[in-house]
Amino acid sequence: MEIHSIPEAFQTKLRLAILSSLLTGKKSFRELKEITSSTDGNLGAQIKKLDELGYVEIEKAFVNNKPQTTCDITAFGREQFKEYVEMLEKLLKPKN
Amino acid sequence: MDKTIENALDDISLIKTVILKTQKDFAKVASFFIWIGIINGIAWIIEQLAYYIRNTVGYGNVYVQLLGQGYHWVRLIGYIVVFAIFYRKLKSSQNDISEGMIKIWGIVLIGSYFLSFLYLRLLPNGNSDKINILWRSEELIDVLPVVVALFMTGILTKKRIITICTAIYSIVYFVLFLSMKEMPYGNLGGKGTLIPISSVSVRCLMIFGMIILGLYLKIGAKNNGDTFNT
Repeated sequence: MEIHSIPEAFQTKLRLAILSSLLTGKKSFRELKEITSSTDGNLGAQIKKLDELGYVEIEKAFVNNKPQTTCDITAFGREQFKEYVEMLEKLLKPKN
Repeated sequence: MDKTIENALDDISLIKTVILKTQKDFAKVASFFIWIGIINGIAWIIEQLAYYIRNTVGYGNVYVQLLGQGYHWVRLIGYIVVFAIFYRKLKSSQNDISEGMIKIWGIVLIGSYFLSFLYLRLLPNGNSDKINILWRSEELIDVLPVVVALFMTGILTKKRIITICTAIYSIVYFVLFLSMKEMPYGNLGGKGTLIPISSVSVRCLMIFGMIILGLYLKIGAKNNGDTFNT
């Protein structure tokens, strides 16, 4: 991954926050909302985008007759995240 | 500073903050404490019902024995069920601090039950002063691990107020325990009995203390958010 070709998934703070929080495990929509302190509409739109890009998987189920959405990071998403962090580290390393 | 470097630093700081926040998310463990409080509340109602029947119908009534046993079984089974549910939930969330806390509380609550069971089985029969002191000391098996677990909860969550409240409670408890003062208990529908004030304080701790701790962690978990704009 290069600085001039950063994937769309890492170009907004909220998407980056969503992916970072999913690194520690599956989260429900409500949990993601609490962690990122974002609005329903904004969060929903960013999750949808990340799903389309193949970074997250969305699971919809009924729990106690209420719809519950859970998100998980995909293997591709995790790999891309790792590459992105490595790129950031490289960028911050002092050049000799 | 170069704009690219500035953005890179921003992103790294955001990633760190979010990961730290997911580690400090005590919402699930907070619900565990609330459930422990509810279980103890239900057990208390059962105990009071047993006293009520004893006071109105008589000691020999079969329901008095059943409800008396029920008090212990509700707590033990409740602890095991709640521990199993929350341990499973937290294992999948990979939240190391909360998972550690659940393990400590599981060992403390369930383990102390088995310890006191063993203790009571090993107690010699009789009615001497020594045996009475040993009977009274059984309560310490229940309360001391809870106090230790509360201190550990305060340390793990880095909430000083939990540690301070636990310290105050332990001092109050030991003063009450050593003073051996008693108060009327279970006097619904009759005379009831006298039990040590320290035992009443343990019941209050396990019902109200746990619910307050749970609510405090739940509210605290919600109030530490930064917003991330798109």
